[in-house]
Amino acid sequence: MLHPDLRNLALLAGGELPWWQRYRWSFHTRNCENCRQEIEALAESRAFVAENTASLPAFVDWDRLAADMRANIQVGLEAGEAIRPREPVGLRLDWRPAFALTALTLVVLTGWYLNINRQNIYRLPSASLEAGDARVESGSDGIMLTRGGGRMTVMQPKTQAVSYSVNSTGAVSARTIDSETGQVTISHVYLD
Amino acid sequence: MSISTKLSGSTRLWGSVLFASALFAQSELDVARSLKVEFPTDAPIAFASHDLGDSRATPRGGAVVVDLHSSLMLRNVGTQRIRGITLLIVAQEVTPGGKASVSVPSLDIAVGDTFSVRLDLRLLRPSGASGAGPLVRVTLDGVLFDSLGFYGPNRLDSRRVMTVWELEARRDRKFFAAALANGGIENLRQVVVTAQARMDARPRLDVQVARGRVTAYDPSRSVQFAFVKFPDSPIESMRGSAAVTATEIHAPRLELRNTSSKSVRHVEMGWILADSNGKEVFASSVPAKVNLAPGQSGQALDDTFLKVARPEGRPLNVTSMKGFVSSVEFADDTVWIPTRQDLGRGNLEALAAPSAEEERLLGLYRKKGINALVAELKKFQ
Repeated sequence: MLHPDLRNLALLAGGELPWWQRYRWSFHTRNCENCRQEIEALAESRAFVAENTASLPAFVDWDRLAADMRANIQVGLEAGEAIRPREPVGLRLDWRPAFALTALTLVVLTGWYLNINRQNIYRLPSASLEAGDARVESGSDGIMLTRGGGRMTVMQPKTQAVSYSVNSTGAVSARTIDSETGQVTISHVYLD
Repeated sequence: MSISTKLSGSTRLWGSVLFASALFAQSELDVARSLKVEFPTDAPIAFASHDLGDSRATPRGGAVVVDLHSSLMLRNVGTQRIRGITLLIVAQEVTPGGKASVSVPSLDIAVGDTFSVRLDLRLLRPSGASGAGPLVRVTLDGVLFDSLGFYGPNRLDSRRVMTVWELEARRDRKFFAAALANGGIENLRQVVVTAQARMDARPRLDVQVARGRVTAYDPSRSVQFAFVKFPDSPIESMRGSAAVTATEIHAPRLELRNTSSKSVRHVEMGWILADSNGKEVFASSVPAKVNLAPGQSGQALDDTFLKVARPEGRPLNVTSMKGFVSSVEFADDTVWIPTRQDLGRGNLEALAAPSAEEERLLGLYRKKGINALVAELKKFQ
């Protein structure tokens, strides 16, 4: 089972994860005792810190501190303005090229994500069987029988985990379990 | 898109798929006639409806690629609950003699209920091939009931295979139900997490099997099988050997003895290979048709040539082999499978693939949590 790392646990405890990660790890922690305990401990620590930093120490004069800070900031701004080089007019980056570049990047990334062959990343163990000119083999689409110039592929859903096996009676098998319905489907492609 | 089905009598089904004729009229192939579904007249299953999804035909070079995506809605019109179904798919027009099957085990379909079976096929038909008949014919090979009774022509040995799946399903549900009964939800959770970790860590191999030919192998190195023995097994594995190279196993021979009081007609053995570091991995199952009367011994021979490699491509330097009886079919159609205690021997639980039902139950836990799993286990009690 994949567990969230400490950083994600801390962000989850503080409610600061993006919603999709929050959904993912909340589901995980409902079923993982260790992670749940870790989150409870982090939440307790967070509550302790919040409680003990809610008010300023008595010796701090906030009004005087604020006045000093405003004065320092003002001095800093004036000094920065005095030494700032003049920018030539017309060289400022407009928002439109940046927007176009971002959009293009998104299109490229989306295309890559949708078309990537996941078999190349998470490669399944393969199974194959052959006799004479006929061959049955597992591949990225499913189980394929090639014979006499024709080809038949029993396709497997790409969104589900597939386990392939072969037995010596002459069949390559694929087993999938639908993650939504839980229905088990076992496909065989026979050599004979 | 249109669908035509013809029912003769109460249960005869002819389904013909009509799809996308306007879109693909330029194609030589009439997709409308690509798929034909035909069930026997007395089948306990009837056709309810049909969803064709985005089936299409696409010319590609000198051939036509036909993608058939179909969901058959079927209804239990028999008198018993259905536990499994196997559909036979024949693509004679595309690959001469080519056949496949789609099975759905672990079902619990009450009388009158409907369920779906999905078919996703891709066919590459050379343009010169005859196109007179449908490319694919789908028929019923078998239906398994909760009584373990069977209906169907059984051309694919579906009776034995589905009975094994159903017995494994009952065994594994019982195992998880016992964990719940003995230690409550937390104990069940622990057992499930352990099973999931075992499944995730199971080592796997690339396996290529060639039949009926002798390839270049070194016959001088014969390796004896060791056997994991189960106390209640009706088959005793007496001895066995195979010719082995670093990555290939050829022509296994097994000597078996029927220790039961019933005739045995089929034995399935699991193969486990070990490398020079002693690391073991499950390779394949070796079914053997035998006819052993009670007390009789016999040999199971196979002309199989097995080539194995680790998924990352590294060769597995096979130094030893281990076998175990994974199922036995008797002449009276009954079936024996090992118990969970049996699978605990010889580290088999960690090496052999979990049953389809165990994988389904683990998936249910991952997806919906422990309470859904508990409800599912109670449903079958």
